[in-house]
Amino acid sequence: MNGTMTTGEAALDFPLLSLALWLPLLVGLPIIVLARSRNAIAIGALMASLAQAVLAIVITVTFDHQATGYQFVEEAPWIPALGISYKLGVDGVSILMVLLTGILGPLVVAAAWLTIHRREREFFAALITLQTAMLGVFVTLDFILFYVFWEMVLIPMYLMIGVWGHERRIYATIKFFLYTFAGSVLMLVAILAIRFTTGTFDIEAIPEEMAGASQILQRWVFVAFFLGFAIKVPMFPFHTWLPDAHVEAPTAGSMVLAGVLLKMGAYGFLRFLLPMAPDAVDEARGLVVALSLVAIVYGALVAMVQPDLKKLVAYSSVSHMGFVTLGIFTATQTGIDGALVQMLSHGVVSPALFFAVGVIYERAHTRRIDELGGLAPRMPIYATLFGFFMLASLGLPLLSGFVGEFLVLVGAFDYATGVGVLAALGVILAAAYMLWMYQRVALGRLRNQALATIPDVNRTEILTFVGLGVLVVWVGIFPDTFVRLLSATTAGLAG
Amino acid sequence: MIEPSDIGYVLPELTVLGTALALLLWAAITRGDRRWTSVGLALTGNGLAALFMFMRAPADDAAVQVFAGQLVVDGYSTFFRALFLILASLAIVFGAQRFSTAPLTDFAALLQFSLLGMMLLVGAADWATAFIAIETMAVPVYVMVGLTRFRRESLEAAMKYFALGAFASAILIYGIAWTYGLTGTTSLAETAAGITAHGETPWTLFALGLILVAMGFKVAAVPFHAWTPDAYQGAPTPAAAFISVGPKVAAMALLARVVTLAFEPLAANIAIALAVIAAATMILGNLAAIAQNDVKRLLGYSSIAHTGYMLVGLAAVSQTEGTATFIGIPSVLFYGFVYAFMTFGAFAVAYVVETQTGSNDISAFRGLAQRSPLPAVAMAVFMLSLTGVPPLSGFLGKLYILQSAVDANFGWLAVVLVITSVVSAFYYLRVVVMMFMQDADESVPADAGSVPASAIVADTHSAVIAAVAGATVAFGIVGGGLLTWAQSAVSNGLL
Repeated sequence: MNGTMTTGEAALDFPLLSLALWLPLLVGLPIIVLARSRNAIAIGALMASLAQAVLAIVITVTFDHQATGYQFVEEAPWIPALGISYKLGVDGVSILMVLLTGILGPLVVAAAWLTIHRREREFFAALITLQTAMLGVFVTLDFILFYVFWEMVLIPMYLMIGVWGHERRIYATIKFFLYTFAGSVLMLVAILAIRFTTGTFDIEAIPEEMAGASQILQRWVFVAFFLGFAIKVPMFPFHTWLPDAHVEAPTAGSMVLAGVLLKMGAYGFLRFLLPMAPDAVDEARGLVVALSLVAIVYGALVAMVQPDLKKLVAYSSVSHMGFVTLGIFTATQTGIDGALVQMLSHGVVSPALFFAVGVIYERAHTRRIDELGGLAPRMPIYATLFGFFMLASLGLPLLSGFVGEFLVLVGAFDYATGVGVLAALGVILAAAYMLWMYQRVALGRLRNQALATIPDVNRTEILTFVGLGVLVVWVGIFPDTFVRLLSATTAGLAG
Repeated sequence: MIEPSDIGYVLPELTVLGTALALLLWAAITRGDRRWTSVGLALTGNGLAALFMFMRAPADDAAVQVFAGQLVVDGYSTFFRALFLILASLAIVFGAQRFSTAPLTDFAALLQFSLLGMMLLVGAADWATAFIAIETMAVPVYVMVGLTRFRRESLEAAMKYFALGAFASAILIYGIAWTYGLTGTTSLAETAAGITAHGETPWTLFALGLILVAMGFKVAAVPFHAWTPDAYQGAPTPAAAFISVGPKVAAMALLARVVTLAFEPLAANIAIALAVIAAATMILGNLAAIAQNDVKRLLGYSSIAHTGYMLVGLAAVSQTEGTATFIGIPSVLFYGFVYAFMTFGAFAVAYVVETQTGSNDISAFRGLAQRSPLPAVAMAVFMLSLTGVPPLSGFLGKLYILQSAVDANFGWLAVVLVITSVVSAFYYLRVVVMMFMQDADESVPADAGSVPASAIVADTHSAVIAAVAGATVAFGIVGGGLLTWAQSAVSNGLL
């Protein structure tokens, strides 16, 4: 781990990760609590998340893409009586997630400022806490610290859905909490079983120690971790909480949920499951690949028949995240690279789509596709932007969605031709449901006369869309900027 | 032999006794409102007791036997006595409003007598002392439950509690007699030698069984738990806050000493018995709590569930090369400490709601976040901490207990613990949902049969609740110190 610090980063003993982690919370939260007006609260939250975004970009830029192992490592004892330490670091698996979490922050704050009109103080406080917890998940190298952040994510999200959500919000938020809590507590037992075997909570040291672990332990660890992560992704058949949570969540909540929260599960597969239970992963590979294929095709088919725009985007997430898990379990470096790029891409495209749904909902107070239609002439800028992200989502070349899915497909064909063919079917279905949806919403004639005077997007909304769009284009045209960050780490993960 | 220096070691207990007597005397010689003078007297007494205790605390690795081996002063008893002094002081402050004038003096004096019993109980080194201490602790508590003698439920609860408690005491004394008959000694330490001489015969197991049953009543373990919800519901809320934590944790402390010291030779049998009881207690307590609509009953079943969690720690016995070690005892200490704070806090908030609405129904919590934000946020902290969500102290406690269970090869018990924790999330979150996600119910009559809190009383309540909530958060984040204390408290006395 120390070797990584020498190349170019020797001067960076500065605790950048801790700063990115805690600065928003320690500075932003007091401002939000003390601020007097709605705008002051929002500006406080914006400053806090911008600071985090800048730090995340600095970390990404100074990240040494040739080094294997962890960089920016910080370590201090936390609860020595139990062997728990405060250890942070990033590598190729987490660097894109750090970037994504950071960049999404200010854009979600902007979306919240546009759509949240009551109890704003509490909402922004929850949002900033959530930002810290999510970043924490991706940068911790101590198992218990990881678990702390992993669970900490639940509380603000639970409140965001439950307090600011729509009609069935309480059902949705309790379902969300219970599902994910159930998945993660079993993981805690597995973490303790690993600690019992290896004697450490150090994520960096465990893979080596687990190499000699018994097959039985590996299988148990696999089952517990798999449940926890598969619920979070969510993989078929553990996905049922997702449509409910998305539909009931406020726009900003949906954006974070789709943008970052879903990635936590996939990150868990890469960070823990693959290196810590390699033999069990090999045994279960076929099953997981099959489940991923089911998620891709089933998610797309269900998305196609949704009358609710938000539910459609939610099911498209199930389908797109199926590509991520497929790439991870193909055991090829291309597949894993593709999965990570797809995580980044989906992490900006799906929040953009949820934001687009939110923009319509704010104006028309409906999300039903059959009550919309003919919006393009009345909202030309909106229709253009929505169309752009719709195309990015279905995987148009030169936009971000294409890169990830293409790499995953290459990995899938390497793994087995049949798997590749089936996964490619998902890409075709995505084009079908997305284009059909766009046609019904934006094109055609106006079906609802109340929308005759619907105003186009305002400047803040355009800015939010553009902020998300920059990354979509960048990943689409210069994928190597991001893929090269990964290769040193993913080479070690591929079976 | 009683040495003069022994008096120095029991100065804290003598101070508490003196305070109790002074409170009674003060009530006899004064007229009018003596609420605050009584509270002041009790707090001064407890403060002095704490001072004496830490002045004469033996060195970390020493245990001092006083009064011819009747009582032991060691780190273990100091740990618990510190907790009890804090709890009793908080409870007295809380009772100040509920019991205006005369009954407060009764309440405070009863509490002090019970505190005396608890302090002696955790230091008991002889069966006779243990029995007397347990009665000194319990009898004032029976009275406290029935203190509002004009309320039917209060009287009914007191009768039930008294009858069952007396029954349990009878079983305990029978068990003690049986043990004495087998071993010829009443000293806890010498009992072990006697049991070893007898070996694992039906008679020694019978004696152990009797004592476990009696202690099961006191700690409210399934199937001896039935009195708990009735007693908590019937008791005046400030009394319930104390009863749900003090006597339970004290009884748990004695149980730990008995099984690790007196019945240590039967550790393997104890582990199995306690594991089964713990599993039943966790399952039944959590399942029954789901159906409760009265918050005090809900907390009653919740406290049963938490007895189960602590019993897991007690059952965590590691078998290495034929010798058994109770590795989970420090986790029981830590959990008892943080459990006391969160449950006391939850009752305290329930009491604030009771003074506002006159009701203990869960619907009385509707819209509490808007009505009075501080108690609502504190209650959310207590509920989430009781669920075991990080970074709160309840999580650290559960983590420690789980780790002991896994280390002791009780994987199945760890799984039962985490799954029942998910079940518990359901009913704890109901309270949070009421407070934060639903608007105030206008149909709840304001101040029906309740005494409106004056400004100063409300401020006192807020301060106490804020402090307890702060402790609940702090022990989770910087709980290392308390954890180390719990470990050293055990290492010098018990193992």
